[in-house]
Amino acid sequence: MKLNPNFTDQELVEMILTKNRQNMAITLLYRQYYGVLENYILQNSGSSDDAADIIQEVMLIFVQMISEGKFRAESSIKSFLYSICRNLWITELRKRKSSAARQEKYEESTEKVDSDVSESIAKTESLKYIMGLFQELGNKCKQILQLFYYEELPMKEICEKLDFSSEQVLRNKKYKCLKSLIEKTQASPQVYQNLQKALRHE
Amino acid sequence: MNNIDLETLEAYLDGKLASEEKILLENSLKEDASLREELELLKLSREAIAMNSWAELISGTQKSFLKERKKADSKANPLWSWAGRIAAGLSFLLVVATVALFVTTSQNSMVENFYSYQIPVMRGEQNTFSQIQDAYLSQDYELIESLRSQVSQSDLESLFILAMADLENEKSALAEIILKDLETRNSQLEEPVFSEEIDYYLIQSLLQQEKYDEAESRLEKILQDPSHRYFKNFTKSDLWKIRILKLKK
Repeated sequence: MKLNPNFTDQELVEMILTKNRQNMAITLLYRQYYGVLENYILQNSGSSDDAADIIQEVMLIFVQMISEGKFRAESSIKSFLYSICRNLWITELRKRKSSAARQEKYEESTEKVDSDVSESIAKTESLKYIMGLFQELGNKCKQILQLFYYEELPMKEICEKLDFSSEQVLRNKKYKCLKSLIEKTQASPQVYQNLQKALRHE
Repeated sequence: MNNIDLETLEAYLDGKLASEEKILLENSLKEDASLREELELLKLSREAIAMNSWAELISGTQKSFLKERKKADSKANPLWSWAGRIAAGLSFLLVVATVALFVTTSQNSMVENFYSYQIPVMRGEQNTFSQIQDAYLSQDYELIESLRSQVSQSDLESLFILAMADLENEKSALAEIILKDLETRNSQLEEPVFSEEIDYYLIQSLLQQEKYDEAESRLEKILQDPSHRYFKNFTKSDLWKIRILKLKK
């Protein structure tokens, strides 16, 4: 597939935010920035496998930050991705107790971005845990919730797509599925602790 | 626990509550920590559901991207890629062969490859042998030793047999002296005797004495002459073996 690389940063962000041609947007991000991000990991004691793991998470956090309106128009996608990548990799190195993390120098000019990024990284940890619980739901539940919350399809369309007899039946099913996910999440001490921390800061 | 259901909380998050209901709910949120937690969990769960789809999209894109990149890399340089692999394989084999050659090469292993001299015996004919030849044929090297003083310096054939017996007895220094003497005399003869045998057995006597430099140059001489009788008894690997023995020494 030939892709037109001449999209501005703002256009790419819009494509992700509105979920319009989001596949193309993600593909373009990979084509344009994977090499730069991989190079950073490789030059800082990482392997190409480390780079692949970190970059996948960088992209997820980037999308999440766009969804939350944390991507500021004044910064470029490249510097934003780089900042997420650097924060994630430093966190990973600290986990590994690598001396490389201690050698890493922070640039003052990017401090603000880093603090937003750090918050998003912490939040993504909780989200990833809930995503794992979501995977444990039945296929029908997953389909309903995905179509509703990601595809943002109206109930009528989901009803037709998944062959439900009525919208009310679908509504009841969706309620049960969501309730089930929330109950699983409530039972998780890890998410619960993070949640209480977040609420105390409010 | 509160009695506000999930649908009401969802409607609140989506901005679909009527203003009165919204005020009531916001008042309850101020007072009820568990309701705040429930609302927060609902927000997180909704985000996680959406992010799960993004994670699948990102994971799929990354796989395709890396696959395409790998394909592009191998297409860009298929020849170098294969040539590199072949070169690496050959280099590895060369290193293994060199190490094996280095480890297995010894003075004994080289000397053992030399054939003992055999006196030509004509079948169907009556052969007449001198006493020293008889002793050599019956491998009676002690007898040959006792005959040493009786061998005439003009009897080149017996002197040669004496040298061969010395090699068998590992008296390689004596063998070298006799063979070199014969070599000098051959140079003055119109019809040299045992000249090619002398080349061959001199190498053996030199190797036995660890005189590797001279053994190497004499072996090079044989390898340069395909018409030499002993040309096929050696290969270039024998030269390398002598060089390894020099290194080991």
